[in-house]
Amino acid sequence: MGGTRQFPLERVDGFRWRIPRESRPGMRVDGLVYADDLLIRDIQADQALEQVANVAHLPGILGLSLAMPDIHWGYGFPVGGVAAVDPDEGVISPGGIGFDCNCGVRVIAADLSEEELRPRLDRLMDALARAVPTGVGSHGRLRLGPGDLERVLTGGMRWAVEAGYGRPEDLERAEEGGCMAGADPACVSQRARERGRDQLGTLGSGNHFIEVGVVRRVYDPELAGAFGLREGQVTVMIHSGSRGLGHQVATDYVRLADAEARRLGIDLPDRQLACAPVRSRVGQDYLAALAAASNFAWANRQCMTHWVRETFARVFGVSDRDLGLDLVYDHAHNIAKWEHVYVGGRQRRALVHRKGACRAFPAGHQQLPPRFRPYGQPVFVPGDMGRASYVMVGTQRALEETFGSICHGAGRRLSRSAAKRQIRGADLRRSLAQRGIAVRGAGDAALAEEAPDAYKDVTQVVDVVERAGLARRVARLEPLGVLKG
Amino acid sequence: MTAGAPDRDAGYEILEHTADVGLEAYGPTPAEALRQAALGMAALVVPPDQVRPARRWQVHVSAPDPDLLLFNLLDELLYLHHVEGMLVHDVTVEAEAPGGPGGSGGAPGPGRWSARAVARGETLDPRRHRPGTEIKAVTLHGIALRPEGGRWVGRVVFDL
Repeated sequence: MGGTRQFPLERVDGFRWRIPRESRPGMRVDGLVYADDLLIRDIQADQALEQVANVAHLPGILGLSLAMPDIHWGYGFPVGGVAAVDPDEGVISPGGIGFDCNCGVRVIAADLSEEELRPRLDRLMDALARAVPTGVGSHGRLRLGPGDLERVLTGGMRWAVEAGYGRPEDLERAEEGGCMAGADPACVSQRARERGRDQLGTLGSGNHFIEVGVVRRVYDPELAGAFGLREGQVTVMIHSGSRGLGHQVATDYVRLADAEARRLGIDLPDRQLACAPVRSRVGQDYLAALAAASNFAWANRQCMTHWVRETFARVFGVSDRDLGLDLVYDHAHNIAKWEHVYVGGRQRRALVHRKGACRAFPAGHQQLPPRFRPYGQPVFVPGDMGRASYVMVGTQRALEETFGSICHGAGRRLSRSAAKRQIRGADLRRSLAQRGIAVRGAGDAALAEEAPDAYKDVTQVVDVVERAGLARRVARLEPLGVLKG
Repeated sequence: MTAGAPDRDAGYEILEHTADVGLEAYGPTPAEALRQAALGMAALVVPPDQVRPARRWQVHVSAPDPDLLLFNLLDELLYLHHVEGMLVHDVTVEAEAPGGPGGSGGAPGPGRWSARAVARGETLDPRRHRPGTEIKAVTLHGIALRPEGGRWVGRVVFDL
């Protein structure tokens, strides 16, 4: 494996690298990778560039096969990959979204300062660990009645708010209003339902987390104010997705798309790129199932938000409204959606695949709700548990160049086993505690896998995105407590 | 082609992958390579020696090609793990190539590969088992089950 050192890369400028379509027979468009001289070295260390080139083989792909600076080796698409396809000629690839349909991030802002939180931080983290089920095979606190799962799959966040898990105003602070249109529960298999049935309101494992943090720095006070953020304020970030239900939906449709691609003789360099024409029955069913799984994910993050609010209220002995705890925004980073994108300077409708990448619509975008249209939507770029995370806002240039997309995080550097070899979980827990970061949930081995050193430095990633002109920094969040899945 | 006891000609190893994890399994027959892959996947969750052989699960899968047979078998076992909490102590696998001797019931269709596996193990008990990794899914990335240098090799990447 490996052998990507010699992969043909042409430098476009300080932050852009082109993979010419001539470098592989079958590539339909160029690849474009966003990175600086340092990050490109990490990127070249695994097979991520090969995967950028592979994505360029998809029938109907428009413009470029894109890779964000947090790109790393995935399966099919790289993690950090973005591709748009034509509605008529294009294909949809379930592996181009990832197995965790609508894995995403949200941030909640509290009317609390770090000083007010500190004395109760340990109590709060213990209480959060009790309130939100985490880890492998965790079961949710919700017992869905007959018909409830259908309503979750079609209603998403709306179902959760109507069922009492949230505030009506939460709905206008989520991508798609937390409810993707076109969801059809009939396209979600019995197996997917079985896997999801008792997992609504669970965090999951791996890199999922709930992080209590503080707004350490504001770069753009006007935008931060518009998003409801100010320096010194306590925040909560939730990273989770559609749990077993979404994983099974993805598996079911990878298998169907594989059969469809073979039937149609679509030649692909990686079987995980399995795809079906957007207009085909398989393509349409997958879009309806993806929307349903995405709604499950939005309901999932919403239920956990409700328990976070309840927990803060209990620990501080006041109502959750008294503590603010307003939703700032919620967005996906594994999804495919119909959007109006720029290709060759002209706007057209396309199906945008984002796998480990975020939508970053700028100010004035017609698909943003009135609340965000004057400013653009917030984009959350979580880093590792020891450093920082950023709130950003996309630019017109991103809309024109990357289908309105930016990075989704720091991106892994080390494999999980390499992280476990190099880092002892117990040592890491101690060193984080010494720096005032309380960790709950994960065992030592799982903690080592998610250690800061296993990730690239998110500041470096965000720096590339900003200097390439795709987005601007709005605020920097730093962790105080982490509940790991 | 029934898998025998593990020996030096059969086994599995975990492959490095930046975000996820890969597995290479091998054996003298397709069945043994499949069996080793199933054991390797099980070991990522809970080491088989920490699992009691208290219960049996049977699965039967078929596929148009051997690569997809590996995918389908592991996906079926993963489903049982997620929905029934199945943990694996040991597995036996029988596999048939197209045109091979037909089994009774569920005989392979024309041109299809098939495998039958019996897993012995127990249901996950959070008091005794600490699952190490949540495997979200089996991927088709680089999936392979094929003869190489006189033995059968299976390769697979899991989404974690």
